[in-house]
Amino acid sequence: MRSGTSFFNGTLYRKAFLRFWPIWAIYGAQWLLLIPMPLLTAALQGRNPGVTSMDNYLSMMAQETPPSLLVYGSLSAIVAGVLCAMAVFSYLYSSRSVCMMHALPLRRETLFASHYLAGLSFLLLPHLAVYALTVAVEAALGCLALGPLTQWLLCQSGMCLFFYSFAAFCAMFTGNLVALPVFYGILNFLAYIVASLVEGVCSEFLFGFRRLPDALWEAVTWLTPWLSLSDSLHIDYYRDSSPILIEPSVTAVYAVAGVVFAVAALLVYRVRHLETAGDVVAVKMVRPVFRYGFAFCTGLTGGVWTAALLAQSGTAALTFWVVFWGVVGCFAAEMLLKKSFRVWKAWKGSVALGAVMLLLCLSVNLDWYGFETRVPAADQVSSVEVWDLSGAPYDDANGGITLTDPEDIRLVTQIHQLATQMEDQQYDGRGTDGYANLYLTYTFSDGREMARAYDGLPLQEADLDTQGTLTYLASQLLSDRDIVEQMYDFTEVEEGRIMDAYLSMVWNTQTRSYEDVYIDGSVQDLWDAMKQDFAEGTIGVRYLLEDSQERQDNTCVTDLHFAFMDRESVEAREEGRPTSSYEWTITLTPNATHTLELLREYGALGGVYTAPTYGEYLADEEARYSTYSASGGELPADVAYDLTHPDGATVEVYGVSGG
Amino acid sequence: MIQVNNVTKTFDGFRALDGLTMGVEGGSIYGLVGPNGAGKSTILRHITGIYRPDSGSVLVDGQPVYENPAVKSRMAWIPDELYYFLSASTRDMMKFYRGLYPQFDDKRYQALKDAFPAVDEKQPIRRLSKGMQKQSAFWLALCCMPDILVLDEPVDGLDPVMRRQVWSLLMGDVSQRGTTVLVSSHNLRELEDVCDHVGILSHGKVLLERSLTDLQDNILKLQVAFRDGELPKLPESLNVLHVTQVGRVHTLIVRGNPEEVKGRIAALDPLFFEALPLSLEEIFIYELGGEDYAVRDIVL
Repeated sequence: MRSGTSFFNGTLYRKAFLRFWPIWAIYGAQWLLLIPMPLLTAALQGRNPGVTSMDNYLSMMAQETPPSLLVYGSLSAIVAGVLCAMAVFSYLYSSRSVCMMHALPLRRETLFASHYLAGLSFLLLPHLAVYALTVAVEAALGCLALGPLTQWLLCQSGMCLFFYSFAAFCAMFTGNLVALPVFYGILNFLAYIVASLVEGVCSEFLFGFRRLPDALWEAVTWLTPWLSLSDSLHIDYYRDSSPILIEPSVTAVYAVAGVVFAVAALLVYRVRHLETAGDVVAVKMVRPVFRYGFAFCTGLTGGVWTAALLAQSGTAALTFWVVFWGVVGCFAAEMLLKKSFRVWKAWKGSVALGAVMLLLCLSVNLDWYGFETRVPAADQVSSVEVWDLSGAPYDDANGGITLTDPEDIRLVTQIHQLATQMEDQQYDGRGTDGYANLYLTYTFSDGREMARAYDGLPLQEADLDTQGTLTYLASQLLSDRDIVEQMYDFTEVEEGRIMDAYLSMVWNTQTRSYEDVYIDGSVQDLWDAMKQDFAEGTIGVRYLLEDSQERQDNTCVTDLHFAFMDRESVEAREEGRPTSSYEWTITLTPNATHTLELLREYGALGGVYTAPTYGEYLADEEARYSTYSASGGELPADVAYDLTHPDGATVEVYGVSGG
Repeated sequence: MIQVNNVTKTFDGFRALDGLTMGVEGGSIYGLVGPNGAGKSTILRHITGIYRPDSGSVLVDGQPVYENPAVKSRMAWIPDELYYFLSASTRDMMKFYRGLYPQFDDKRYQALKDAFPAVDEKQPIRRLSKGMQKQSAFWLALCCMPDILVLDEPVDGLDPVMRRQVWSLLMGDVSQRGTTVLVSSHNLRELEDVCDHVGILSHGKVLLERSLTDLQDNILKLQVAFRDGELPKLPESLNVLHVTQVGRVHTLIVRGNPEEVKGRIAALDPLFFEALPLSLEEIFIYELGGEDYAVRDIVL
């Protein structure tokens, strides 16, 4: 007598496998067309781009094709996973099929395991078939590359295991076939969507809010499997002409998670009430989670989008829309749960949800948590990273700097303290002489981090000598040569090998145009001269106010660029491996005597080449405009282009009325 | 054989079964009747192990049915709404059931071909008519050689000849193999011919449960006329379920021992009286009348 109590039933498995054959057939055909077929057709047709021999070309294809398809494979897995789950667990979604299947002499474990394995086979068996066929084709063509192919097999199978198991897990929570892909899609990206929405709302509500903590975003990436997988499976670089993926081991983590989801799905299935077939949410205890979670997400999404669509700025409008959509979302969730439009009885829950969302918005907006006013005590901070306070000119000092000196940290906290009081003093181009952006990331002694961002903090030239003002404190920071040296990052730049140099925006008095001029001479000497000037404080000077007379007189429009080969590339080049390089830029000044002298010696400056100051550049541009303006003609395209600052910032030009 | 003990089941706040208790003896044909929404299909789904009761138990030979393949393998079920795999033919489903029911009988499958000549075993079941789908269901269910056959509106859609054919096959199994049949139907006339036990459900409970003979012996219809045309005051001990009057003839539906009832009526010195047996349908109507479920005179 055959037993009906085993964990697996062959009849059920075979039936499910054969019933849904189009799924695995199409899935398998896709991979056949993508992996062995191009190889085969290339060999049969002798199709070769001509850069190498046919054997090398086939070998290259065998090496590159499987790993390069893994990012596409992640998309394929996310879609195929849910399709397979929808097929094999479709019997859970109608009363008739539920009754038929559960009247059979089988335990739920058997029903689940047999169907689950059938669905998994839809994905894994085609992988194995494609793998075997590709091995045969490659062996026949003499270009067998087992490594990349096996890597594809493992990674693709791991991804499929995860996405399919996750879809099976979602399948256990719903009694509606249409709801399954919707839930699955939303849950796959829920963490990312919610984090983005929360970040968007907080940016609007909280002055100084920069972003959610990095650790949270890292967790969000992990909780958004497709993002994490597709990021990890890009080709990072090539070693011995074999593509190396960024982090393929991530797939193994998700594969293990897939097994966990499969077990969890079984546990949910065991307690699932079968009379819920047709319901949007089949597990009773999940219904409140669905109702209020749906309402919360609808509130955030609808709030942010509606405020954006109606171009309504300000926290009051956003609060209104968040609460409004939250209440609407609560009713909508009730409609889905009850399968009816008559859900007015849900008004209590909706009002409660609306009140909670209003309270949340108010608490954030009114800063009940002290976010906006929080400035760390300097003695608790071990380092602070400062971005975007470098001012003009716009060269390679514009990156971030990490300050560890207690005095510097104290100065930054003072600037921060002033910034927190400037919510109502945003730069609007009137009555101020400039603006500063300030992005801060504190690292505390205990390892915690705190990030803040302030845009458009107004600056006054008159405050440059007034102690205790933002302008004064910020200029103090920028006049510290040690800090400026750190901004230019000389230590790290010099780790590479200097290769060549050139000047950009050199004025050619003959052609009356700006040109790039390459240095014909010792680049190392030029670097040393520049460093000497820097040490003497005649180059690399930072100006808080972009259009100040001091900046206009003491910086050139011309930039000096150095090209370096990075440290690893120095060794790589000696071993014949590919190399990479980077560029470093500093703006010339009329006072950098050593540098200018050498540039003249090399012929890069002098003669027809000059390095105009920024003030001369602006005056020249203004004059050109005046000419066109006076003639009443339209601005030529190249002149319109010159309207912009050489570094991309817009230059203010007065008296241009467009004729 | 089947014992249902105090089973309750609630769907979204609606109590479909409310402490339902019933028992089905082995080798009997048990008819389950009741108004729409009484809980007939729900209790059948508990008995077949599909639904899990909120409380109470469903036992077959002392063993719980829910999640018990050993019990369920002895049971076949034909629901009122049939389900087959898309594109599956009767033969495909036969192969499927053969892999799941240990007692499945291939020879019987071949033998029963003649009993259902209208069913093309190679044709997809969804292309068959409703009646032929039902025949296919009976064909497959009987091949599973069940000890218990649970039927929900089994002959709905079958023509009179095929109804007789199906009942004949069922009766044959009951007499030869001792199969227990639990059948839910609104066709009381038909149940009356085949059932030996009847249970009447109302509001998720069993209102009464007896052998058909006991049931019919415990209720009778009396047609009685008195000299002055008026119905005298009846003794309070007489359990009168229903009274109607046409001319001078009163019709009484009375529960109780027929001889005792007749004796008490005779004591009232009627002009004449006659005791008539009640059909199952009449018993159903009058019993449920006491449960506030009766035909109402509606003026349109």
